[in-house]
Amino acid sequence: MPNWYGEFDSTPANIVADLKARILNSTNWANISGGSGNVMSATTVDGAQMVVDLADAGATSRQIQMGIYRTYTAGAGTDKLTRYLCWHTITGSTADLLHATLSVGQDHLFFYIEGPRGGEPNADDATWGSARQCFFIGRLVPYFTGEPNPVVVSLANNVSLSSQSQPLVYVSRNRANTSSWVPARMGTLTIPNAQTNAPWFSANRIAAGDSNTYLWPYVVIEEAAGLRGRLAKAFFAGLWAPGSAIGTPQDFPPQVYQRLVYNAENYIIVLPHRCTTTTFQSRSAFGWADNSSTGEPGMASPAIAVPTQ
Amino acid sequence: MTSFTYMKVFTGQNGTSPQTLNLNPIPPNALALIAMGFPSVGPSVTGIAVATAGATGTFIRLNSMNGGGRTGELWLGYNFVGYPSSFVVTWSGGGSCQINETYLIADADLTVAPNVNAATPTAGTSTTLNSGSVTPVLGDLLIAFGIWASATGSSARVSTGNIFAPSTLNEHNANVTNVSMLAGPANVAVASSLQWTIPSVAWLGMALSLTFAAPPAPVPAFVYKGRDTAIADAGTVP
Repeated sequence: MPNWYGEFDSTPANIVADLKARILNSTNWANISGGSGNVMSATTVDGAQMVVDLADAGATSRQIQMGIYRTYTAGAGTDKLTRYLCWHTITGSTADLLHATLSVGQDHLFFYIEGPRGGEPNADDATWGSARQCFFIGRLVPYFTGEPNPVVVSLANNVSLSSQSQPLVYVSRNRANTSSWVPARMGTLTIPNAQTNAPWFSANRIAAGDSNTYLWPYVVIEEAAGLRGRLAKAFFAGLWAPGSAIGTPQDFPPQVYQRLVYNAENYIIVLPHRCTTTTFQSRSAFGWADNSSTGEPGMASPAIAVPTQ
Repeated sequence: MTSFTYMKVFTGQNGTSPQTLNLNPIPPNALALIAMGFPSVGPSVTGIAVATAGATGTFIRLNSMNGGGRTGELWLGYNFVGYPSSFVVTWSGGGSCQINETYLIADADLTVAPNVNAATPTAGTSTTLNSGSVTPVLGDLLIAFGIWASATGSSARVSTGNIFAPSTLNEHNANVTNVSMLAGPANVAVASSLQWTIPSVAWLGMALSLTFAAPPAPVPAFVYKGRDTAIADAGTVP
């Protein structure tokens, strides 16, 4: 099948193999390193190559290290970007229980990995569990002609063992087609807010005007060239803030796990982040939703819609 | 297999019938667990109703127990439409009630009632309150519910089988009745129970597993484009 979505448990010792097996559930992806190699690749409808080496370095008890390449042929990659995904603030064990969710298709790869939950062995916090960080690579739909099509965007943690994901995304080629992996930011429709402690809330995405559910696009804005386009296969579905104040302003929690059909393709709404303490924030370019101050750390996250079968 | 995610544990409240609960708006993909404890044998919850204008939802009694001068009831709310945030609980038999509320979100069809598998409630007076054991189906939601005749909370909780997630602990008290509830997903189909450590007082406990229907078919969605004249978005809605 082209699109595949699933939730599964793993361990640090098995996570690379488990991710690989799930990615290959999509008929658009292949193991281009062959055999026991871990270099996974697909070509977008625009002809861009997405390449992810799941084991740029061996997985540890705390993280995986990935190599992202703009192109990859004959066993060698070009223009490498190194990214990490970390689930522990403690050392933990390679036998720890990990909880993962993965969505994959011709134009994207998304997954998150969460460390042991509350009550499970080696959880960062016995009550609130461990961190959840996400990785995404996918097609960018350009807004202008003359783009050096195709381009792809990726985002994840750019620092080894870091507790915070980076707010930037990286576009595989700049608009002038002279540089690779140029930094960009993502914008979407949400509450205008530049105040640290302002109440933040979600808007109702069900329009009474036509009874339809609306998602917002993630618009990619390159730092040098400005507006470039939008993500093809991930959409903003609101902010998840269970610890927020009751009543004013009114909050409309996203319908997490809801299945939606958009452009004849099925989507599911997921929460890509989770953190357990103030040192492990719920941040990525998908959104910053820092831990609640009301005694429920780590439960805040942006909600995003990604493809499912 | 159904997945469950923590949403919100409320601080609970106490009062006489009817009691209005003003809580966070609850989305359609969430379920509400309402645990109640009475300091006497005899009161019976007659219903929980949505009080938010234009919103609806369904509440059912999952199980009840009484003994040792206490009554406990556990209710489930599901099939929420219109983000309700206000609910009214009514009961017969008078007296005050300690009400604890917890929201969870589920990857399931919450428009229909789940199958309920409940262990026979247990009673005792020792310092370890046991919920009794229930064997879930893979993907069930497990719930452990206990009340005891003291305002003192539990000092420790130990799961057997599956883990009743500590982040879902909802424990509050009033009228010398402590009400405690935890939930968690059934990742393995093995007998599961929870043991609380409490003062040596009369107590009641029970465990349940709920089997929910598979997620419903996807519903249409549209992407609102901030730049709907661009070539890339031509032909999309609106």
